[in-house]
Amino acid sequence: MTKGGRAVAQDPRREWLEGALARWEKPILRLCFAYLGDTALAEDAVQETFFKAWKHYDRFRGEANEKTWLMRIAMNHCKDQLKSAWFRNNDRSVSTDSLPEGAVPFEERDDTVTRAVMSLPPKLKEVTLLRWYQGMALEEIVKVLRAPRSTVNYRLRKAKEMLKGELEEWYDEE
Amino acid sequence: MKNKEPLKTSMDRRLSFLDERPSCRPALMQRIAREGAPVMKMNKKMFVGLVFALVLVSLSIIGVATGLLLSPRVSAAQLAERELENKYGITRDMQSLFYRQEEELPDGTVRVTYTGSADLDYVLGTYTVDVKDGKAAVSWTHDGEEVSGGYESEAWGPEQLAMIIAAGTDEKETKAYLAKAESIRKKYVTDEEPEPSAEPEEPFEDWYARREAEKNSALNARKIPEEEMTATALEFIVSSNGLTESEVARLERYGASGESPENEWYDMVAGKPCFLVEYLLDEEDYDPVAAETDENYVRNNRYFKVYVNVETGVIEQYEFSNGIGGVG
Repeated sequence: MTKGGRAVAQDPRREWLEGALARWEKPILRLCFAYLGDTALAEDAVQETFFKAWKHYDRFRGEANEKTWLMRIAMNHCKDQLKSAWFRNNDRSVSTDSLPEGAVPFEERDDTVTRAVMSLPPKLKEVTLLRWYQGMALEEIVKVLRAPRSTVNYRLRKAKEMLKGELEEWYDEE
Repeated sequence: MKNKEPLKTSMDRRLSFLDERPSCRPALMQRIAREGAPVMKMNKKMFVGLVFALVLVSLSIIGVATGLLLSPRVSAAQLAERELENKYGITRDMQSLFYRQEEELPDGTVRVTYTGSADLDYVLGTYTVDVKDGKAAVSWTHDGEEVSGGYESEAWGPEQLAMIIAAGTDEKETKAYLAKAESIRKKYVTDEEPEPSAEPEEPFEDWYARREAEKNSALNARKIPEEEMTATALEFIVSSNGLTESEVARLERYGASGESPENEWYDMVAGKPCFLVEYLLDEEDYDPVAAETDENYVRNNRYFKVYVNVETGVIEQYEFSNGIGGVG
């Protein structure tokens, strides 16, 4: 079920959680931040994701791989956040013009790409993050979003169109 | 669109400031410590003996049918299950790769449909079972097509379903048959852009309030104690799935910690107020350590959901999953 490679566990659920945190905490934090634009909310989303995963560990029945399963929980939590009255009334998301500086040096185009993705409308942003940021296949995105394949395809095409417009300087036609 | 550099690399570099944030681990572990694990309240040995004895008594008194009260939809679904296996060789495990739905038609027929799960919908097709007066008529969207020849066939029946089940959750094999199913689907089905919905999307707050109202309505209609409804659901699970004593011993009630909101397990099902009971069943030789350490380990656990009418005790709906996908 999982790819832990860890030593014998007294509590397999707890042991799995430790491994999953090591593997996915940072990628999920980045995904949630890119979606919500708010560090504190993204951190809450990460904690919520792993808590729900721990709680529903027995329901993880191999219907999806570990990454797909965790991303689904994270994305659902972020979507709920975005829809909540609290988020609408207390939007603390950072302007995409003022993302904090990172430890790793980045180039201007990194900034441009990130800002362009974060500025997409939510439904296009979620498919973009899953497809091109998380590298998920179409079938996996369908599972994560529980949306019809045709809808996911349509949103991916729309997102691609919008990003092409935004990133003309950095992207070439094939 | 051709990337000069993968989007992921650029975004990872730009979002690297998040790497300096502290891990959520300490807060998470504190929260988990407060939560406690779901528990089965009754002494397990007593519980298993009691349930198994109860089911055996029911079976011996009334034959195959127990004293359970089943809604017409549930009775029809059970008959449909048998018909699918008798006519097409689609076993119970195979049925778990389909989504089952029931619909009551004006003439009293209950129509049970089994649609192939999301990625396999075209190749698996849809089985329709019309049940009326205790008789069932079954048809399949691929009736008359060739079904032998493994994944090369364009209609997948018991042969391919058995292959899928044998492949288990092996990611490589799963991707291979999903890709094949997708290529067959593309030959016959064109995905069109969805029409924009004329209905405005329901705001989340409204949806949430509506769901809470439904759950509270079901909770407030309760006339039967939860323990009794749980026992009814369990009896249904054991008898309709033919579980052995050792399997009953491995059943674990899901969500029995008692820390969830009072309305958590209540819902309206086809307009009826219901209490939801869920049980998980691990395989006999489930090895939790191997599940964690062996990449090739496939955990084959099953789960059962039963909705019991809180006013009448009638079983209104049930679901079964063997962990492969879909809900048969």
